Amino acid sequence: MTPTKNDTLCNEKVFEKTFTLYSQDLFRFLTYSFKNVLLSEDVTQSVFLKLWDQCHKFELSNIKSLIFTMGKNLILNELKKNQQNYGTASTEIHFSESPHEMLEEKQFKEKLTRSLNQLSSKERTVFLMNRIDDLTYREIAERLDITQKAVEKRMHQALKKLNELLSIDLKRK
Amino acid sequence: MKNENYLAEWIIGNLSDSQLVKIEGQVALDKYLLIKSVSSKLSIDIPQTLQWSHFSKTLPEKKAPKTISMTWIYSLAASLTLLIGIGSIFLSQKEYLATNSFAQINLPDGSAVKLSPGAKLSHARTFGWTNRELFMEGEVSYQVTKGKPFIVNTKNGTVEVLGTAFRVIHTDGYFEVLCAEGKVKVTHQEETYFLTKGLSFNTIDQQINEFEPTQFGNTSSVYYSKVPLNHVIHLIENLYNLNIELQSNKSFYFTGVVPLNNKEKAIKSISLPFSFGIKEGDNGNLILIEE
Repeated sequence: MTPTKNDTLCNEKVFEKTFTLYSQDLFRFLTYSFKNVLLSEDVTQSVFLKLWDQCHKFELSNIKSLIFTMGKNLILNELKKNQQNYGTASTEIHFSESPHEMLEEKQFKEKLTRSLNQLSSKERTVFLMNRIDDLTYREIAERLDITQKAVEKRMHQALKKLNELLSIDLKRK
Repeated sequence: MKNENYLAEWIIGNLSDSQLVKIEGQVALDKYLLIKSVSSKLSIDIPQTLQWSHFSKTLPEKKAPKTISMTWIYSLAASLTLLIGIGSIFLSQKEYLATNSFAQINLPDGSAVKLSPGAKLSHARTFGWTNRELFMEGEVSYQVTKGKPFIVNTKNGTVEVLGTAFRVIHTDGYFEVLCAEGKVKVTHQEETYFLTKGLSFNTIDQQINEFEPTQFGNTSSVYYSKVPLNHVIHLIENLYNLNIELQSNKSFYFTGVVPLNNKEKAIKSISLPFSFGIKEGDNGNLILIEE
């Protein structure tokens, strides 16, 4: 079956599906990388508004990596433009509270969160895309436009560093 | 030669714990295991504005181009094929069954569910895509991410939520819903009930009751409020591989906490409150006798 002209982003159903599939992924990816929820939310909305506005320009076949590239470029621009508005220096990732947690688990989660905030942006992003988004290394590589080997390396380094950071954190307590 | 990125291999299961011990030692392994398990439970709140229902309102409208297709018969044929295709995806179900332990499952939409022993859960393969609808039997706890309405069907009633934590029990004609967070809409025999944090509904009282929400979500014990005692007995039977016989023809209702990590304490938790005597039967089964 050849694609009909309905298979473009200009079709609202197709657009809705694209949005549902990737908007939350993009938001999480930006938050992991730049640790700034407000900015990530703004940028995610802007990316999809732009996609809708210029829907006839985009090919559906490579939409996934395009969305991630657009998001990354846009957020970097924004950060350059108004660093003061979003306050880049002091932001941290926060994870959802869960009622299923026991105290011990909660305390470890706090330590882990502190350590995750100290990782490099690249390491943290790969680590969380695998752990939270449940993406395989190949899928992460696709989205970040890097090799799978590079993803594995970042994952390895992330774990190594987390282990070191947690050891320090545990001793300090 | 070992892979230089062996930790990346290990966390996805391509390298075993014992292989990692050889490289890193036991102390490090323990810490890595902790990182692995705790990080798998992390999640990030998604802002409301990124829900389609919300975002679609901010979209400027597109003028729909008028197209009259000359080859309508081909597109009709194509859409029929597509419909059949979608139909077969829709029809195929994914099923989960917890046999003799608790099963934690992450659903495609990011929600997490915990099946108690004996519980069954199924959903269409399109779950999280076009809908968030499930079918269940037994006892299941939910931690739902925000998004499209999340609907749980049982033979006795339907539960609809928007993003919350709750538990549903459906066994032998008994139906109970307990809301630990957020808001839940319950439909039972065409009546609708709204539950907020700390409220529960069951088919015995047919009314809304209160419970202590901090009791919910503990992993070493499970809390019940006025459930049929048989439900708790089934749970303990499945969990510890026991055969328990209750010698009484009265209906008992259980309120309290059942420990999940200690067989003796679990049995005591059901025998003490009703002052049942415990006797071992001929074929290794436990008999609870009303005294």
